[in-house]
Amino acid sequence: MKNRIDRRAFLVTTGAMGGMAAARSLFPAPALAKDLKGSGQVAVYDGGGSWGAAKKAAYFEPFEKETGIKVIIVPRTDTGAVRASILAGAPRYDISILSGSSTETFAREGLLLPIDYGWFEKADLDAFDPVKPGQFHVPHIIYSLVLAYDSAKFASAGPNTWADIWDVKKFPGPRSLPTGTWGGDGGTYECALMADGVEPSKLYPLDWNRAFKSLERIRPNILKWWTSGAEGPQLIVDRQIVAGSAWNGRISAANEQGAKIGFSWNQGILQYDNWVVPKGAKNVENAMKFAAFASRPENQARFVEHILYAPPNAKAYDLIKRERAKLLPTSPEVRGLQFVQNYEFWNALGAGGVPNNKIAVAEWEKWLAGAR
Amino acid sequence: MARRSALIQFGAFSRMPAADVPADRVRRRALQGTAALVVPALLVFLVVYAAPLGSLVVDSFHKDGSFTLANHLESITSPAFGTIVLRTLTLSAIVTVLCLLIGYPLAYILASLRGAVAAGLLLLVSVPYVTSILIRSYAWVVVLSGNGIINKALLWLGVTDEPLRLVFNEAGTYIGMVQVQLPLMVFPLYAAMHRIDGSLVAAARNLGSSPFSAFWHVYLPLSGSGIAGGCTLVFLSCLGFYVTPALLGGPGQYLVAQGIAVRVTTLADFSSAAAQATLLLAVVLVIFIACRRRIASELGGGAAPEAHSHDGAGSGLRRWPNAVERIALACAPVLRACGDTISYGGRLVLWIFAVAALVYLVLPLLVVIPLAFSDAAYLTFPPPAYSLRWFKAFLSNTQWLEATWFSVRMAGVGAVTSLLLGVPVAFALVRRRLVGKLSIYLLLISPLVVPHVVIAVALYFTLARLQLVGTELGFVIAYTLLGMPYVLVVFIAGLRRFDQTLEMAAASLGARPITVLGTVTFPLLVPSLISALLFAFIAGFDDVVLGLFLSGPTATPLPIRMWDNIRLEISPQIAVVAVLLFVALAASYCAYLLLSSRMFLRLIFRSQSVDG
Repeated sequence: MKNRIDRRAFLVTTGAMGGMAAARSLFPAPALAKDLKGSGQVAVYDGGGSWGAAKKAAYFEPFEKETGIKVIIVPRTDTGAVRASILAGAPRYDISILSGSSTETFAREGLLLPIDYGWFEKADLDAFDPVKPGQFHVPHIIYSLVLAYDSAKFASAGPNTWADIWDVKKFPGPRSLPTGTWGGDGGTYECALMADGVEPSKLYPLDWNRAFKSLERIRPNILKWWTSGAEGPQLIVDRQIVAGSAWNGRISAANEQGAKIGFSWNQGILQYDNWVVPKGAKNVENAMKFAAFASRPENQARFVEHILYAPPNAKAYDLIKRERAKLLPTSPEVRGLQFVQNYEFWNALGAGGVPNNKIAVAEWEKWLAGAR
Repeated sequence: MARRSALIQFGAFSRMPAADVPADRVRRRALQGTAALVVPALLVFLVVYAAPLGSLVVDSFHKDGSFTLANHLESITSPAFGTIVLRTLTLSAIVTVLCLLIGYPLAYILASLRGAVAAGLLLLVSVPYVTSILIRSYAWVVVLSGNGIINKALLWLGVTDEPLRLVFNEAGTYIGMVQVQLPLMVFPLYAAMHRIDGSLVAAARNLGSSPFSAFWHVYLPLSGSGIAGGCTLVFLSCLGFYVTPALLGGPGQYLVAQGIAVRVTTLADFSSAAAQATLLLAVVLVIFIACRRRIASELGGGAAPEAHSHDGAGSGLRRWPNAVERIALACAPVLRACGDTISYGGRLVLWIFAVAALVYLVLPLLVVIPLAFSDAAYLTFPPPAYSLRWFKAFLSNTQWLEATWFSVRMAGVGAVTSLLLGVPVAFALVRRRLVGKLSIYLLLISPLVVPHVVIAVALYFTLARLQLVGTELGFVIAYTLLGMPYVLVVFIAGLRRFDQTLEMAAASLGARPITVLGTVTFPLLVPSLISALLFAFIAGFDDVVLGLFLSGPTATPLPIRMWDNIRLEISPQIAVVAVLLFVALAASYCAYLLLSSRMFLRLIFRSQSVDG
């Protein structure tokens, strides 16, 4: 017998045996584990690709095993289709995922049910960091929009700030940033303001004019605006661009497969997705149980083994290998270099009672059409 | 009922009534016949398309329960929207002209071929469709970028000293878009040219006509319906297009459909999306009304009273929509050159041109094939090593296989349904007298113009009410809507150049209407049927947008799986799908060859036994 217990190996073994209670007893104050056993089914938002596979291994299968509730895996879709399904009174999911930049808007429109925290462990809820659970949402994953570059091109001293990304003399070559029609999700406006010298703490409310002035400077060097998470890293791999922005998980996944993409956590924008329960969901109780299950640290730690999205429950870090943890944006070493995006701003109503997300699209179109 | 009968007038062409049947009975029968042709398609469209879309449009005029023009004014008064619409129209027009210039000589060569060779080359023309839009765009980047295949070749040949910028700018947009739209031009042209009697051109030449004049006055007018059909398809489908320009265009590229898609998918703001779609549709409507006389005569001349047009009776050329005619006249020198080329036996030049056009169509696939055999975990060209890992991954993944099978079945059933509903309408529009032809035509082809995200939202609410979301029937309905415009445009082009005297001859020789249909009409329309079916199938098979709304746990089409897969990482998996689709197409081509040769044998065998 080994006398040194490797936490991860222990977790995996006990998890495989279905002994989740044993795994939880690793923590100092394990309140009585809430019994999530139930019956019936729950329709859950799938992620597709590696995201879906990670959810299946970390959440769907163990949840079925522990609770007896069947998980119906429903394919992912766009925000618009989720909203349409709730409006039609037949939500696509019992428990869905929404980006932080649209969650509040859904809640304001009365499209979500309040989360029943009775099913959750208090210790888990307290451990959520840096984003807390809210009345209508439980954070699911945290990721960071960081500056990325071709590390073959700038081997010794790569760009380290958004100002560097804007500095085409020091780092010559084409760039790519997310399209501004993504509003908050793309972070392009924040990047533009930081490149112009605005401190992260003084970003909000965003100064649109200053942001577009800054974008005007980089525009001649933009090869294209990227429109899917895969595109940024792909453009670097293909040597089409030398620098830009990308999500940390995409960069690490590409690098694990042999790509050479450099990045910096400095001035990274922390973003997150939430679990939400749509109004009209057929299996509300099961959905709440699922959200509670997905908030447990051991499940989030297992999730991280499959994909590099940070766990919102900070206790999960106790169970994640160090080398793996270092790649995550909320690990203690790098957390302080970044800031959490202000979703409150993006969901709020701006000038003329129009939501800021919508203002961003309209202003972006004006700018591209040369009418700004 | 009253409205319907008011809508439908009497058939101009009633099928050989027996002399003793009273006139009003003939009239009534013709009326019923026309109604039977048009009503099924119209009913389907009214219930699952027009009504939901209409209510979405009505919604766009409401805010907090009261009437408002805010959504529309917001767009109209925005300088950005006007500019974006204008850009979209210009881009669509240029792509249409380019498609015509490339597609016409290509279709001409294809139409001069027969049998297996023609079928094989037509198959190559449809190749752009087997590759999903994302992998195709990726392939174009590989071909066109600074360190891409073309630039490497040009540098090596010493044609240029530094790489040309061929992608992520206007050039990339046009190269990518024309390639996708070209089949929409070539197929209707081919269907029209296929039936042109070559001896007519020869006769003109014999009578002393110059080569150009023979081409200009005989061949070109005879192919006019194909030109009209092809231009309509290409222009309209460009209006609703945005993914390819977004992926291959420059940072300034932004089309109206993109703005509408952003409003639906990201902002979930259906009202302003509906408002913009309404405005786009209004623009299209204005274009159509401006060309209504041309369209009406294209539809058979018997349309609304003001649309009566006999000025162009003698010349197909005059039947074209105005814009096309002007463009054609502007291109006269090129066409003249074409004419000369044909006459001087310079078919070689035409052949070279046609082969170049085919290479252009196939080029991305040539990049996609090695990618599918890549050993790399991500997309990189050329692949560092080759293996079958992505084929194995695909074939061992039940989710992907199920999705593929689902897509094939639903797109197939959808295509057949739109054919069954659409062909009778095409007959009625071209051959019967009908009030409101233009409206019916516009309604049925509008799914081509209305951005798919808007159709998706409208259709979603209707199907949700009927509890059809996530079901097979839901997808069949959706794919039928998408396929209808292609069926209609292709078939109308097919019927326009149809020599009705052949049918009359058969009828006068005693053939019953059903026999005429089976032995004369149908066989002559086979090329149109096949291309209509192919387009309708692809319209459904390629759809992502409607699938995003209508899919469910047991109803997930292939494009949704691919979409899911490539949002976060682009793997060679989608290249595998493209290669497999191409193999399937090639296999069906071989089956076709085998079948037709057996029929050929049987034919020989039978004629021998008759002789014996």
